[in-house]
Amino acid sequence: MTPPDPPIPPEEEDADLMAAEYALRLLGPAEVEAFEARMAHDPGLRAALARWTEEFGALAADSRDEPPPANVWRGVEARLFPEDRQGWLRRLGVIPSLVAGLVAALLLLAVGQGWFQSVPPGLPAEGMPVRIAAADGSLIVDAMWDDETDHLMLMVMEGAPPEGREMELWLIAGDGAPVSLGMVHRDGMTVIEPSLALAALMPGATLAISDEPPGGSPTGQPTGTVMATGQVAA
Amino acid sequence: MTDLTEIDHLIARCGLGDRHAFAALYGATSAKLFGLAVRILGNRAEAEDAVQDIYVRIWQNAARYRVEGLSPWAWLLTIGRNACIDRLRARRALQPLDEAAELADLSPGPEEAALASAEARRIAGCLDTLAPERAEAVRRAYLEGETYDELARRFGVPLNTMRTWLRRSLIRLRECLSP
Repeated sequence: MTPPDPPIPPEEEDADLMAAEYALRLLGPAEVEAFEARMAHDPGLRAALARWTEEFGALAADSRDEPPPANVWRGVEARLFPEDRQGWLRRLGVIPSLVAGLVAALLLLAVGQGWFQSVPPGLPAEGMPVRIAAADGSLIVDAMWDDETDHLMLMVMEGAPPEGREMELWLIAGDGAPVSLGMVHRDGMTVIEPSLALAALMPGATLAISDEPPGGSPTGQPTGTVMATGQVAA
Repeated sequence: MTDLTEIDHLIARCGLGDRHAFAALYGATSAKLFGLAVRILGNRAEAEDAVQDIYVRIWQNAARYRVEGLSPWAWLLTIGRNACIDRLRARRALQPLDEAAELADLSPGPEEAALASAEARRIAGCLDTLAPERAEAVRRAYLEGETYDELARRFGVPLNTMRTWLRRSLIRLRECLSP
């Protein structure tokens, strides 16, 4: 036995229209409350709302795509997961403070001794979206650094390797020789976990994708065509 | 473009707390949602903040995604649109509607029209069957979050007239959209 619906003026009896008004957010607070109460036990009304939402959603779909700047992703992570703001260094947080103090002292000593001179300045910033793309757009791969797990995630947005070939990802830091980061799946997401030393080379580096035989380059250096490149922000 | 099944899958995995999926979803969808936010808000800095609101909501609501029965893009774009409208309404609450300053043209330009998906063309085509002011009222409600009260003032008609007007437009739209 459900409670009677709140009285609705004759003009508003068309529940389907009310679903449209709800989707457009034209209803006042009291009407919203009444509509939601009614929807809770009326699957037909939920379906009507889904239909209108779907139709109006198409009006939002025809905007121009534009990648947001990298700091936006950092902001999302900071708001949702504030506990890992310190990134990979957060792991030091689990070390008892005594040990942490010792580590800090060692770090100071290391800096003083110049041990770090050959060590690049830092890991990639969180997010760090990079688009690895062919000049003609025939291959587009979006990469993102996950600071929480120190993983590089890649997704093929457009294109595929030639028949019988696979895609291999290379890191080129400065004048250095390309270093393989692994194979890129043509479908779905590829997750690569580079060593921290490799990750540290990433800021300012070039990421490139070449086509290689199945399983990857036999020589450890690119043997096929460079299909796409992208620049990591310094 | 990452295909629909993949996006559907990523959203569902976000609902299970999978942060890899969340990052991948961001990679695959943030350009469209940022484009939408820039279009609705007309201001890049605010659009950047809006995109953060949008992904916070996506993460927090992903567990309910399947229940809502929407296609992945409709679900994402609706969250995007609503987050932007919240910002516009907050902005207007501080600075009431200034007719002269609010004459942004909401109909898509030739470029956007060319890019529009088949679905967008369908509803756009149906809106074109309405008188221009009526189509504009629906677009303003959806893309500017204008209320009946604001629309009534904009078009210089009493509130009840505005509502009747818009509901008739919705009936026409429904007829046009139904197969």
